Amino acid sequence: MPISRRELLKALAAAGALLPTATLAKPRGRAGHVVIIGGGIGGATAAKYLRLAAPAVRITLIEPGNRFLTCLRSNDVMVGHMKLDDITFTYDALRSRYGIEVIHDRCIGFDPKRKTVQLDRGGKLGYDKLIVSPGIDMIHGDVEGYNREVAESVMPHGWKAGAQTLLLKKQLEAVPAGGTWLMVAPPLPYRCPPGPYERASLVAEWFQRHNPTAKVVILDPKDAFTKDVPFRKAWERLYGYNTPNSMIEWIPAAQGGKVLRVDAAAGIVHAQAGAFRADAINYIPPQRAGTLAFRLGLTNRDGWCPVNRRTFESEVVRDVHVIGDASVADAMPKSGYSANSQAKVAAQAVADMLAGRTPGEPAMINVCYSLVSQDYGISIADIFKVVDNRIIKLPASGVSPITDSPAQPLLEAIYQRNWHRTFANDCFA
Amino acid sequence: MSLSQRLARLFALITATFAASAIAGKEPAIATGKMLGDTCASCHGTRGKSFDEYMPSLAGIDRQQLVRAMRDYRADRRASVVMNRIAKGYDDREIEAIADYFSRIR
Repeated sequence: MPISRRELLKALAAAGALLPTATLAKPRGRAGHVVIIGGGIGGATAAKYLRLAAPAVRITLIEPGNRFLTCLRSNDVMVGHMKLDDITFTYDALRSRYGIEVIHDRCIGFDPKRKTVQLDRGGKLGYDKLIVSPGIDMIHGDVEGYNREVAESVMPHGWKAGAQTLLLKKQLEAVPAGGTWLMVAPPLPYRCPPGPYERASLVAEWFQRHNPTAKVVILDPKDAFTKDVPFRKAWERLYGYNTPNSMIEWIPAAQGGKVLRVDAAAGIVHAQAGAFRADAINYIPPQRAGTLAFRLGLTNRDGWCPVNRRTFESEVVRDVHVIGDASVADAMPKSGYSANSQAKVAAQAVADMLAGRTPGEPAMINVCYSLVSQDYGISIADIFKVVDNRIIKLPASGVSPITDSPAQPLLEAIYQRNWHRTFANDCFA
Repeated sequence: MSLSQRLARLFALITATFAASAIAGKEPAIATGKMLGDTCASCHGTRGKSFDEYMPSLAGIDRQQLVRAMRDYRADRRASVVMNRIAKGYDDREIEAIADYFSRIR
């Protein structure tokens, strides 16, 4: 279909690609203009819930990508139970149903005094409130022999879904009969605390079906991990854990699990316990707040963003709210569920502040389901409150009980799959 | 200022006064029904509207039915996969606020 230059320009302008600086920096509406940077789970949820809380506010979402892949369930993509399409979401509903202006561009800086953000291609954009959801980035170079190039070739982390997930999948499938798949688990704090152990479990399940004499080794700089009690019970039930024929070997810090250096060319990881040769290596490095957080000067000495726990307003820069993995949220884990919950609190706080109201009491939650096999799920569920500017976990909630009921883990596995769809809708649709 | 605006202001003032007196009493402040309800939405759908047989819709639910279900989960009188654990994170006033919120959604 032929399209005139004029129509093309109009279409591009509607997509935010060609709006001149003057238009973007136009005076804010009476109800205010909120700019949200980062279209992951936190940013998308914040945009949607801000619209629900503040119908008249102008909302602009800045995100370089035109679709988002959830890390959630990317382990299922690695073992072939889901496709990348199943974990891919667009910004169409945010635009069409919620009237949010989505601009596919990169934020390269801001002026907190003038309250403008600088976009890479689109000039300056004024804001009354800024919400940033920077996510995480990997720390390369903490261990000799490991760097970005190694991460993108022979030792993928698979901690951001997409190309890394497919690389992991390819390497898993290439493990020879009776070979070894090795994971280097990260130190806390990192995104998705149960994620490494779910992944190791699903690799073991894949081996049971496709490569039954192959083994999984986890080198861990920690001595404990979230849900470790039900995880290890499930490993006993499913993968012979704690027997000589165990398919999974977990080497904690106390047994020399800390990695000292890697030899990428030879496929060897040198840990305190000795040298481990493996046919596939999944190196999950230490993490820090996403680069955006550093670019905007929102981080503390530890590389994370300190915030007021009731509103998620930055403790470093006024009128900037930081949500999701990058924020310092005490007892809340760095999870998609936490980011979604924090986004709702921040959106309500921003709506209240713009309307001259004092934000009320926040309420937050985190629920994480992990699969130990396709038919065996375990979960953690916690409710959080803010006391003296600290997020605390209420004592009652917690981890799946270990029971003899075969229905419990099966139902948790079913819940997991159903939950992913509902959750993604709560964020993006 | 129109009459309806004045009435709205008056109503807001009365509400705020009641809220303030509640704070002055011994009961600590709790989140609004909407704020609490938003914690349910990550599984039960935005504003409690889901299309999932395992995590049912809460929108338009009978108030007493939801209050009773949450109390039963919390006391482990009703079996569940995760709701027993989640319900333990909410006190009676919060459960009632959640039930008020969802029961009013049409």
